[in-house]
Amino acid sequence: MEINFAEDFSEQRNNALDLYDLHQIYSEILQQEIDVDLSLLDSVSLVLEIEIISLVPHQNEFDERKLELLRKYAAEAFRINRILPQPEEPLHCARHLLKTASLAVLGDRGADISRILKTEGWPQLPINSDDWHDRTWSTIVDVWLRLIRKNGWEDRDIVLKRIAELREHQNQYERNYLDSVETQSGKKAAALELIGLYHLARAAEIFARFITDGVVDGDYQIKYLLEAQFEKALKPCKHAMLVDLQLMTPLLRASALQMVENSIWTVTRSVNTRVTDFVKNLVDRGRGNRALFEVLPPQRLTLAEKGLLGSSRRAVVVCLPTSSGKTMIAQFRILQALNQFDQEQGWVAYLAPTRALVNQVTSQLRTDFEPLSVIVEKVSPALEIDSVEMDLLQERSQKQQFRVLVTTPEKLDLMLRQGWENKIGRPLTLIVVDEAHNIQMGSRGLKLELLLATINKECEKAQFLLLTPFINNAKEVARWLGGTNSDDISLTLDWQPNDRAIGIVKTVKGAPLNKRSFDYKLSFKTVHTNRKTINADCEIPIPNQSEIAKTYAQASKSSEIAAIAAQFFQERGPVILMHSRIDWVWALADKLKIEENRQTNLHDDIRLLQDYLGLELGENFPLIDLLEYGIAVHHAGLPEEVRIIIEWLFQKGRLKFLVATTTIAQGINFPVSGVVMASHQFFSQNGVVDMSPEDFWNIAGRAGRISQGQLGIVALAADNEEKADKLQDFINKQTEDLNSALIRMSIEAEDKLNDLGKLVYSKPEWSSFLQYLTHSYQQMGKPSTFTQQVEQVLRGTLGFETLKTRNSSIAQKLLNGIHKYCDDIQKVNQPLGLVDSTGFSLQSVKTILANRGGINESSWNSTTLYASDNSTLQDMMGILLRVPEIRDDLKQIIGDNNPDGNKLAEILKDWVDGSPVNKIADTHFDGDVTKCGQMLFGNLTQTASWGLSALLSITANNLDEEEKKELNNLPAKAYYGVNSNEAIKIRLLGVPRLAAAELAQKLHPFIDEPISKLRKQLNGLSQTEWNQAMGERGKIYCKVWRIIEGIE
Amino acid sequence: MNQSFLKMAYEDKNDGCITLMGLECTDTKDFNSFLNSNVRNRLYDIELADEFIEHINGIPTAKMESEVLADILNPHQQEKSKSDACEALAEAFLEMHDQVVFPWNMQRDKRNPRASLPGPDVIGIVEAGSESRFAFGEVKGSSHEQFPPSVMYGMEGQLRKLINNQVIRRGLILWLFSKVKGNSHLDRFLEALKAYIISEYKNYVLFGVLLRDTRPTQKDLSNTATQLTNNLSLPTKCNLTALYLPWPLDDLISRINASGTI
Repeated sequence: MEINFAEDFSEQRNNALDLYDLHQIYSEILQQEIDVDLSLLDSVSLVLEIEIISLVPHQNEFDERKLELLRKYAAEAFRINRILPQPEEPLHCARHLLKTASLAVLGDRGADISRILKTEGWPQLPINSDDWHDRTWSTIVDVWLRLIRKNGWEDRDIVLKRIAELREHQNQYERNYLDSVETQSGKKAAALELIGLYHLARAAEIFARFITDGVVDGDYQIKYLLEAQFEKALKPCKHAMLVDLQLMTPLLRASALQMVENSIWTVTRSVNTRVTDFVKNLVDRGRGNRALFEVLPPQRLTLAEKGLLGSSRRAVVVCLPTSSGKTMIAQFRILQALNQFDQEQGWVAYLAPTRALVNQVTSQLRTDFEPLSVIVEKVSPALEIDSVEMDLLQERSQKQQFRVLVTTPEKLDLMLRQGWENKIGRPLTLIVVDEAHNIQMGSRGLKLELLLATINKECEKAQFLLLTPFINNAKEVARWLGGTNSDDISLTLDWQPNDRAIGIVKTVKGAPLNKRSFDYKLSFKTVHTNRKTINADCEIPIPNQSEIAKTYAQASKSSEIAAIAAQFFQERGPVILMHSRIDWVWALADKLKIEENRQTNLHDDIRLLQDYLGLELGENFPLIDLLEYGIAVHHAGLPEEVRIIIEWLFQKGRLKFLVATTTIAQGINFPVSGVVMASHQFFSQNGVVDMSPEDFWNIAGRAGRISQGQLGIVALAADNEEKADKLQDFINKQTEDLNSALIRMSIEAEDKLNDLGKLVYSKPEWSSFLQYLTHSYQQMGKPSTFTQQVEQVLRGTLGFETLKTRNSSIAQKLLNGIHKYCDDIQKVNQPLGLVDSTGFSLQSVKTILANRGGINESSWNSTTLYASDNSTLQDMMGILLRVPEIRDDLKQIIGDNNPDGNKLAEILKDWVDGSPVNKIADTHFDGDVTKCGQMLFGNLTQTASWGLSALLSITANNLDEEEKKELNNLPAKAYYGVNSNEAIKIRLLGVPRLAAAELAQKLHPFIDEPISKLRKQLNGLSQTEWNQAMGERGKIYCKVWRIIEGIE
Repeated sequence: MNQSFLKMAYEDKNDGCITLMGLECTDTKDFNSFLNSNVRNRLYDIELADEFIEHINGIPTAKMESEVLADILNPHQQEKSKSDACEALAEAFLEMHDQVVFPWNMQRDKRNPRASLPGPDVIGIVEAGSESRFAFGEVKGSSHEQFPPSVMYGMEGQLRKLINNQVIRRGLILWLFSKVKGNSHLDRFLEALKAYIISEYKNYVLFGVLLRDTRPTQKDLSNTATQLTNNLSLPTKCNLTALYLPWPLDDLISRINASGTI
């Protein structure tokens, strides 16, 4: 039945929702209750409730449109009910809450209400009353609230206990109660009501058993069991005016059935035994409150409603907003793929864009898959394969073989082009691409696109799962990889786990302080966005902070505005502040170093980081002092381990402020109370650019401490009106089509497209495209007709076909250039094989060959290369400085005044030799530890190891495999900053650099074990054993390692 | 139904919210026919007995005991009280005289006195031309030679509660919705709801029906009307009606049960 009643009241509904927004902003930010028009809220709530009841589907009815409407109205009603006053009488109040909770479940806000019930609870109910009416009602309301809250196994256990008690006491109290009801008709009504309530009790029991077991009394069709009880609960309402039962039951029924749909058992039923085992583990998880019973609405949509798990689609693009639980979606798909190719021991590649995300994903997958004996490994993002990784990849024992490999796209690209799928000896069956929208991001994006194109062409069994935020052309992207055997799953409606408000914060001039200066305050005003954020037409005043800025003039700069706003918002919980440059990040952090923020009792976790920083970066590293004020910084100039600990501290609520570069937006995957942006831009090689809408919404999507159902605040600092307008435009920038980077690059390079070989010297971003051509040529067996066939090769890319449609003249120019380039690569004696083994373009390979000077097989000596009196490394660096792909990164390190490789070689030697970062900074960067860190971690380790590995391939190609394997660790030493093969292994296991050598010594008896076994050994080391290995530092490193590995 | 058995004893339409009216029921064939059909059908519900057994038989599926409940719901115990009969008569009267539609037999809807919402005796929809409005009301019967009879103080309190407590009306409207959902009364219900909301919860009609076997006098109702006036504002309407029976109130059940006699 459809009544379309709510539409007649759309104006009132909007007004009521505006009131809700206003109420949220005042109560959440200012802790003030505003007077709301209760009559309006009440009438809208009534209208919605009537519409909702009319939309609730009857058994086996399915109408997608009606379901969407039901969800929409229920979500609205949930919000409005939240701000309606609650009845005072405990049982009435709990019943009101149960209705609100049912609406939340129906409105896909189940996670929200669960958190609200966890933090706010409900009034004490007379569960043990001698009055059977009160006792029965209290039990029913209590158990259903618990079933919606699902606080781990505890709630489920209590539900079963309460229902057992109800049965136990029926004989004792029931008759007395019925006797006490005055009239005969009253008695009948009371008896009928009890019958209804008993059926609701049984329904609760059935559901409680289902959430943990997935089956009740051998019956998997739980919906029918529940339906039967709800029907019996409602029938007595035909014979008596049981208003309470009549008003509660239909919504409860609908929400119970929805919870069955949300159940992890329903979503994953009948996929395969591996998936079922995984679900059992998620549900069981120590019977603690980490147990997972339900999936989030986007997960339900993807896995069940859109059928990802049931489908055999070869390529699926899943577009979901932040915090939708994409990793779990991937996990299910991974298990499905592993099962599909179990016979062949197929493996899955999980690609994440950054080293930090590689670590996080590995840690999570490892924890979740360990009970299923699915081995998860990561390979470092270093663009070389060292001997440890070779062993790991080629492990022959089935029990020790990895089944999931986590890495960056660049590393997988290199691996596959070096023939690693064959060397691994098992098929690559699924590629999961996290943050796949990065395809459009410059050279890295193009590389990813071409990697996927190559895999699609060459890996027979490969399937694709691309995870992205919302994009307009998901279908097109899916079809690119899977043709007709593809699918896209997009959640267009912006589901979000909690409310968010996005606004602009400005300075407001106050009264004169003296002749020249004025007082000030800040004003925060929410803005309308194209997502479902909270917006109210009001200005929230933020008081001044004289310790940060005394006058209006001082407070009118972006950094000061951001600091003052952050100081205000941090009272609600930890805040992330962002700025566009590392030096500005430090300066912004310094502004918050005010007396008010000084921590009286520093937590041991903070002290741990301080101690660790002292060891790794020196006692004077400014972050140590900032931590005394609850402030940390986060940027590319910090060692990765430090960044991981800071994120860990922040997540645990140990920090008040995290001041970071805007680049953190992509990497962050934990909730924050508030985000304050001093800038919405970042510095790239192409100058200052705006953060992409995807990155902005990623960070905005994290705002709000979900565990408390809190309103998330995102504030952007505007130092003038013009900036405020710009920010408004920025916030409302629409997500566009996901486009290949090739299109932009071709348009930019239009006139130079005729000579691609030359172009790559000035625009190294073209390298991956040229390598794709070279690789394809070789892969096709170097056909003489390659030039004629090249268009067919280009069809495999996402970009070329689009370019042809949109800009045919540029496409033609590109094609002409490609033809010319193809003619070049077909010339005799081209070192084409080296293109795949180095990851450099043919031009770069030739440059190295032409400038190799005296570098040959004998130059590669594993004991002397990094020795202080050896100049070979300097020569090698000199050559690498000519290679377009890495030249800019290396030059950034040494500046323009050091044209040869000497300084690079010196820094590398100190790094490999184990010199602490602050010492390297003293020697090479005028004591600037941040700059040194930025260069080491952001540029040198990655680039130098790649360059050396490539140089090794080019100049020592004639060595036998054993010799090569030994030498392959030379680039890895540059990557990890250690000087022994054993220490490389320990570094791969996540141990910080300055502890690696000593720990390698300690684990010497096991050092040649497979990496998964060695990890177990390391895991089993006690703190005392760490101390034995390296003295008092041991306990610090032990704890740090456990944090890094996700064990703490 | 022919309303010729009703004779106006007094009426006061003061152009405000409240109308009061006294009607004498004459002991005619029409009145008896009204009692034997309209009223009687409301009072007894044959379907009920079978379904009670179904409810009782279902209890073991909830894994609870059914013995005590079976006792209470014994279908053979269909004794009707005087107040049941008064309500049935009042409803049948409102249906005939005031165009009140009861989407559900209110006689089925016995109230549990422990319920959170006081269940009024009358919940329905008044159909007046193209307009529909919610109807709430109370029914009392009294033979006391006292004017007004003491039950009117109870009625006044109950009506005042309905007037003053929007939450109660809200609950009753939602309950009524469960009774019109999926049947022909739905459109009327939605019209009434719209009128109710647009008027900011004022557009509804209250009924107070008093059954008497005494001589007609306006004093039966006037005090209640005066007391409620200050609580009401347009467009809310309150109709207080006294029905004066031609025989003792205690005979009501037997009169309803009698068939074809004058």
